[in-house]
Amino acid sequence: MNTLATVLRWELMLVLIVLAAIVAYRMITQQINVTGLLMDKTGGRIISPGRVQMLMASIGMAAYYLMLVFESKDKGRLPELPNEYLAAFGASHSIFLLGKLYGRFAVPLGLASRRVGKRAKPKEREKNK
Amino acid sequence: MSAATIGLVIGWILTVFIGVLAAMIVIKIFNGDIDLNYIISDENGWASLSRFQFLIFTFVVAMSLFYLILTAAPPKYPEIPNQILALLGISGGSYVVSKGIQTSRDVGMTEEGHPPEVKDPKVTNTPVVGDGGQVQGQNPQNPQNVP
Repeated sequence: MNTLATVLRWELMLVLIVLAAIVAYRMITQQINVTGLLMDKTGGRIISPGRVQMLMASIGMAAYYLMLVFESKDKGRLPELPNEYLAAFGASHSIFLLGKLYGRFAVPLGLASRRVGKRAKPKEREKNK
Repeated sequence: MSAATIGLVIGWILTVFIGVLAAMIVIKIFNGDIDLNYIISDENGWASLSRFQFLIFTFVVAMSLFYLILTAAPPKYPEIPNQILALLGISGGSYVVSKGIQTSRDVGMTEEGHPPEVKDPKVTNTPVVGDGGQVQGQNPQNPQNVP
């Protein structure tokens, strides 16, 4: 029974690691589409600060949590995350969503000009240079 | 045959089945038969940050669980604290809200006569089935595209 449990556990862990490695490799080599990941789709800017901070917060939080797991002494329980980190993570996502919400309603509510949404797209800008 | 032996046999059958299934999926992904090109893209073909962070946290929590199950002796499913549920809730909730806002924006822009910019989709191995059940890009007289 021990052999069976060991085989099953390593089998599933191996599959997960291989899947993660394939996804990571394909993203780095751009075989997975990453065009416009940080782009402001409403305003046409190449980089959106809200997206950059959320990307950094997500990667930072993921790395920090993996570190907590590997350093955890209690193997019968996933390590707890400090509430401050959780609040910061929630705030980061809120900023991203509020930015997106503003982009959705800025023009209809008269907070931004309709021309903002018609700015040159990044590729067009490169062609104009 | 005792109940323990039957349990062991069923366990090995399931282990081999899951292993073969997982290997087939990985091989198909590797060969490009399962297309991951748009795994983090939205409907317009642009990469989506909310999908990306959702993918990251799915992998992180799954790996953490399997790591703890692997290292615990005797093996047992670890307890999940409320903070982790909150973390996944923020991640998943952000994805859902973001998708709602984007859909609302796309519908609004289309109704105003300014449809959102659609990035040209790349050619993939995965066939897209049209309204009539017909695979797009294929000749109805020759569905296998045999020359």
